[in-house]
Amino acid sequence: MVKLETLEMTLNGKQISLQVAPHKRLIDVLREDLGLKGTKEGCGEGECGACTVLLNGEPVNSCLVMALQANDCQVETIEGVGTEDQPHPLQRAFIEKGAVQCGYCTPGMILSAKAFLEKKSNPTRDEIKVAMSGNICRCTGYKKIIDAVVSVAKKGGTANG
Amino acid sequence: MALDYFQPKSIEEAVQVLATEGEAGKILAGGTDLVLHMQEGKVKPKYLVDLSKIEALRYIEEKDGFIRIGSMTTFTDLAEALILRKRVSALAEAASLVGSPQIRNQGTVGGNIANASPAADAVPPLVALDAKLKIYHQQGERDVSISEVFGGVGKNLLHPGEIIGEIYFPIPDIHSVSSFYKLARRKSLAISRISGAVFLQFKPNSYEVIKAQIGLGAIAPNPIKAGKTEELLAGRILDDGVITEAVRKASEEAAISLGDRPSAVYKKDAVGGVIRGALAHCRLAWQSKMGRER
Repeated sequence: MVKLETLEMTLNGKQISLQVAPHKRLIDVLREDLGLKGTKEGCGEGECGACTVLLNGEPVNSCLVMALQANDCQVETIEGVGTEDQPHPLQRAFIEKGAVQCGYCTPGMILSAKAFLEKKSNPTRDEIKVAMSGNICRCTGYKKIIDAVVSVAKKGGTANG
Repeated sequence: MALDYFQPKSIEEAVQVLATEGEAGKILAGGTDLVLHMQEGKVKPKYLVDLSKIEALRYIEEKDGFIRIGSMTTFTDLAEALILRKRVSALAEAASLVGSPQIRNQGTVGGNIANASPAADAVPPLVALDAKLKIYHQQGERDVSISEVFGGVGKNLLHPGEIIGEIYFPIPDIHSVSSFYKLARRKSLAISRISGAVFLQFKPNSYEVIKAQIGLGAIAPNPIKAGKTEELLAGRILDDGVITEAVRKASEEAAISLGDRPSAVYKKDAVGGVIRGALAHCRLAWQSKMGRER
């Protein structure tokens, strides 16, 4: 059986192929090899969720995923969510509700919320809290973050946001 | 750090690689423990066998009175499986309380077992149910009881070249309920301080316990069955008095396994609370179930 060294994945909608050092984690490849710094390494041990990316639509801690595990997968990072000119409804809501202070947890929060709202319509506040329970914030006290997600959920979710 | 990385597409390929490459490698399931251990330098494998592309290892099915679960089934899969939520709720509940959504999306039941943490949450329900493992190897396969695969804190007794393929157990009787109680410092992203899985089979239309199956986690090097508490409950009517007796028995049993660890004094008492909570929840669940069936 052949050793794997080429990572082929769909990254933010685009099919890419790159050689990766096999010992690297997904977060290392995203930040170092691909220059995508939006994904943050808050703890490096899967305890804070700042490094959250979507792997086949599901939130995972990219600090605990080996880069090559993402082979043949769809990966979505914060860079793939909205643009400066056309922010995603969640990004708009986070700004409007004051849910961003230092901003370090924000990419992970947005991705966890996005994945959740795309799967679940009309969630309760408690269901949102559970969905976000893997993302820690040291600044906001969480209330405004949950308010932001609730406001988007109420408007009918994020379909094609 | 030189690392060879293999990504087999089948079980056959996986056991072949392990047999060919030798003992200096590690199996990568979800990675939530292994990747961290590698980062910390606790393990330095020469190669990894990534099982994530083997779809044949990810399933939950009910067949011939047994529930069979593939080793690469994630905690999210377990938490959401209707058959588990209906008939083995303690296992679905346990899976839903592991770590965080991110951890649950990656972590696997096979990895949970092989990592052999004393606090592994999927294990107490499986130990309670006398689950068996199907283990694959290049030479064939073998079946063992789940307890036989544990060799202490963080140690499993798998032989080189072996992969846990399947976990299976008899589906609990229809007149059963179960409960999982996780005692932890936080509501999320927490490692169990004590965990308890209780399965109770009742005589129809009564509170008489036909059979009790109880697994306790984080009170011994690996999760164990609370055999004496199970015996105490069998044939008894589950009233407050019996619950209190069971709580006392569980404390006694736990004290033996807890040994000298610093938390022993606390845990000897706290395990009683865990058992009390789980039994009370079972009683309520049974009451509901009987109410629905009238």
